[in-house]
Amino acid sequence: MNTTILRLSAQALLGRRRGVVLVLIPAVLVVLAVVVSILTDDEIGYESVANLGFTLALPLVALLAATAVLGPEVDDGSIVYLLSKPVSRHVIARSKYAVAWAATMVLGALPLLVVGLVLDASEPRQALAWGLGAAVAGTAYTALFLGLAAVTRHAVVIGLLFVLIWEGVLGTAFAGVRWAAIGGWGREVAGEISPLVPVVGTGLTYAVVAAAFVSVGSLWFTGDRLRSFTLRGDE
Amino acid sequence: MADPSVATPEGRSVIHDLGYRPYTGPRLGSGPIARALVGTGFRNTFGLGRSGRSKVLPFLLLGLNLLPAFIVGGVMVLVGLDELPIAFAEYASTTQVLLGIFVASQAPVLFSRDLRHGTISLYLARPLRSDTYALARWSSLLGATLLFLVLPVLVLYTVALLGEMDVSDQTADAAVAIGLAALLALSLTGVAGLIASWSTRRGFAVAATIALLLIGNGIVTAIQEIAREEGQPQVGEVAGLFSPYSLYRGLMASWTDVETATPPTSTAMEVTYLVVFLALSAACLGGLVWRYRRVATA
Amino acid sequence: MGPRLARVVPVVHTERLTKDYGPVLALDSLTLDIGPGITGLVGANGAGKSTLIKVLLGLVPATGGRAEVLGHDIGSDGAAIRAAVGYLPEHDCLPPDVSASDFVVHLATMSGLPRVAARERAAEVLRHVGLAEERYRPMGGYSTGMKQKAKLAQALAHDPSLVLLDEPTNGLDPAARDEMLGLVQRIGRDFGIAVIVTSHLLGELERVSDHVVVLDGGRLLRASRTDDFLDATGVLIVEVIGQDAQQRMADALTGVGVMTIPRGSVLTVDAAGSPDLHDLIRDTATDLGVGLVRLHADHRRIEDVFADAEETSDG
Repeated sequence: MNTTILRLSAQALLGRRRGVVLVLIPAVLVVLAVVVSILTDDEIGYESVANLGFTLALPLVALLAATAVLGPEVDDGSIVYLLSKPVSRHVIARSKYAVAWAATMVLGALPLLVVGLVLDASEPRQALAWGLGAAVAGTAYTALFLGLAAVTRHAVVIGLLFVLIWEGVLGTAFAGVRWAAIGGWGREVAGEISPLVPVVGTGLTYAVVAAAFVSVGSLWFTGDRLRSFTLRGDE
Repeated sequence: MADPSVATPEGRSVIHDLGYRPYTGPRLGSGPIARALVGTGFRNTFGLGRSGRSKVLPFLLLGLNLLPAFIVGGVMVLVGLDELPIAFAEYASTTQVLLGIFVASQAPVLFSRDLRHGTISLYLARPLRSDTYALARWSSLLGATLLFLVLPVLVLYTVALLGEMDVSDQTADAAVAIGLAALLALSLTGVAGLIASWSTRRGFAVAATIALLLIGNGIVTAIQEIAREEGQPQVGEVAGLFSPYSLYRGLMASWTDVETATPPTSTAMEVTYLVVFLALSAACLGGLVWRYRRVATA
Repeated sequence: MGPRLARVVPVVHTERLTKDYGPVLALDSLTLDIGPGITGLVGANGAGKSTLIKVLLGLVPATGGRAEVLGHDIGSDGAAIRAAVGYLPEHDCLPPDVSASDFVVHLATMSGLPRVAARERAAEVLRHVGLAEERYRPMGGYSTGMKQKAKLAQALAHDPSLVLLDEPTNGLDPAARDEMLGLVQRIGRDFGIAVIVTSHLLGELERVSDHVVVLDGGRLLRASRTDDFLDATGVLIVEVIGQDAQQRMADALTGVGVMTIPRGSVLTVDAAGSPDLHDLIRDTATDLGVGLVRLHADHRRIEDVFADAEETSDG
C-alpha cells in the first residue's frame, strides 16, 4: 500500500461535488428509513427500503467510488505522472481499491445496517445480515467497477447497465442470472446469517467463492491494465 | 512572399493562385442558426456526425428499448390476440431504466462537452445568444428523448392496427400515451440537462443523474407501496409528486386504464400532478438558461 | 454587413472603457482608437489584453465607459459585432474527437452561413491556413501548431471584417511561430481583414503590425504606428572583433573627436548631424586592423516604452 496514493485518492473521492453526492445517497436512504419506520411497522417497509439500499444505493456508491479514484486521472491524462513513478502498478491498484472499498463499506454497507436497526430494532440479526451481505457484495462491486474504470472511459455507463439491466431487469426475469449477479451473492451471505432475508438459491459456498474470485480477479486485472496503459485520445 | 509556382513544402502555408475570396453570400439570422444547432445536437445524441464508437451506446439502448415492442408485436401477429398485452402508456413505465440511462448518458454529450473543452467560448463569440444556445441544446435532447419514448408506441400502434383492432380506440390511447411521453420527456430532459451543464465530467454527470432519477423513484415507490399496504393512499399520492416517473405513473393511472399503486384520486390532485410536472420542466429549463448566462459573462 | 467596412470607420473606438472585477481592475478608463490594418495589442500577462478583447466581443460586460466595434455599440449591438468579427481565443477550445473540417463547417453555420457555403468556405480557409489531409483527423491528435491553425480557420470561415487573435503564437516553436506571424500578416495585408493580435512577446509584433497599442495594468501606455516606436534613434551601433578591439576602436574614435559609449559588447556612437560617420568608422577599423562585425542604426524597441513609463512614474 502506498500512503501517498491513499491520501490522493481519498482527496479525489471526497472532493466537493462528488463527495456531496456520495454522502447524499446513504443519507437519503437513512432518512427514508426513519420516515418509513414512523409510518409503519410492517415487514413490507423493511423489505422495500432494504431492497432499495441493496439493489440501487450500494452499487451506485461502489460505482461512484471506484470511478472517482481512477476515472478523472485517466480522463485528463495525469495518470502518467503516477505511472512514471517507481511504484508497482499492482500497489497502485491496491491502494486505490483500498480507498474506494473503504468508501463503499462506510457509505454503502454500513447504512444498510443502520437502516435495518432503524426499521426494526428488535431484530438486530437481520440488520447485521443485510449489512454483511452488502459488505460482501460491495467488495466485489468495487473491484469490478475499478477494473472497468481502468479499461474504458465509459465505465460509469457500462457499470450502470450491468447493475440496472443485467442484475436488475434481467435478473428478475431470468433465474439463471443469479449465478452471475453480485447482488445475488450478497443476498446468499445475508440469508445465511439471518433467515429473514430471502436467498436466491446459489448456496453460500458458491456465493462467497464467486465474490472472492471477482474481487481478486478484478483487482489483479486492474493492476495488469495499469502496467500496459496507453493514453488514448477522447472517446 | 513565397513563390506560388514552387511546390509547397510540407506544412508550410502558402497563398495559392486563387488568393482570398471574400464571402458575399447570404448570412442567416439567429432563427436558422438555432435550428441548425438543434439539428446537429439531435444527431449528436445518437452519435451521428461524431466518431463511430459514440454511436454504440445510444443505438444499443434504443434497440433494447424497442425489442419488447417488436416481441409483443410478433407474438400478437402469430397468436392473434385481440388486445394489446401492454398498454401504450405502460410501456415507458416498464422501460424506465433504459430511458433513464439514455437521457443520463446523452445529456453530457450536448451540455458537458462544450463546457469541458472550452468550445462554448466559440459559440458565444458568434451572434447566437447564450439563452438561445441553452434552449437549442435542450431542444435537441428533448427531441431525442421523445423519439426514444414514441417509437415503441408507434410500433405497438402499427401492430394494433394490423391486428384490426378498433382504430379510434387505439388512436385515442396512443395519443394519450404520446402526451404523457411528452411530459416525461420534458422533465427528464430538464433534470439531466441541468446536471450535465453543472458537472463537466461526463461519468459523474451520468452517475448523479441516474442516482437522482432512480433513487428518487425508488424512494417514492417504496413509500407508495407502504402507504397502500397501510391503508393510507393519500400519503402515496403526495409522495408521487416527487419523482418524474411517479408523476408519469400517477397521470397514467388517471388518464388511462392502467393501474398503479396510489394514483391521484381527486381532480385537484390530478391537476397538481400536471402542474408539478410542467413546473419541474420549466424550472430545470430556467436553471439551464441561467447557468449558461453565468458562463457567458464569467 | 457590407464587406471591407474595416476601411471606412475606425475599427475599434473606446471611451473611458472600464472593467472592474472587484479585486482586480482589468481595464482602467481606456480611451483609444484602432484603425484598419494590423494592430498589435501588447502588454505583460495580466495587463488587460484578453479582457479588452472579451469586452469588445460582448462576452464580458464593461463596468464603465463605452466602446464601438465596426460602428456598433458593444452594449446594445453585440450580436451585430459578433456576426462580423472572428475570434481566436487564448485558451483551449477544440473538442478532441471532431475533425478540423467538421468543426470549421459547423462553426461557420453557427455564424450564419448556409450549409453548402459553409462547406466551401471551410475548405478554402483550411487550405489558406495550411491544414492539408490533417483536417480530416480528430483534433485531439494535433500538434499545437495545427491546433492554432484550426482555431484561426474557424475565426476566418465566415469572412469577418475584423479578427481578434488572442496570443496566436502561444506554445509554438520558433518555426511555427514564424509561420503563424506570416499568416497574420497575410490576413491583414492580402485578405483585407482588420486584425487585432495580442502578444506578451513584445518583439514579435514589431515585424508584423502596422500599429501598436501598449497596455499595462489595464491602462493605455501608448498607441501609435509601429514605425514611430521603432524610430531610428540617431545612434549608430558599432561592433568590432579582434585583439583588444573595442577599446582600441573607442580610443581611436575619441582621438578624432567622435564620442563613443560602450554598451556591452558594442559601441554606440551618437551620429546626429554627422552623415559621414559611417565612412569614418569603416576607415578607422581598417587602419587599426580590427574586424568590423556590424555597423547599423540603432532602433528603439517596444520594451523601451515600458522603461520610459517607469522613468516617468519614478521621476
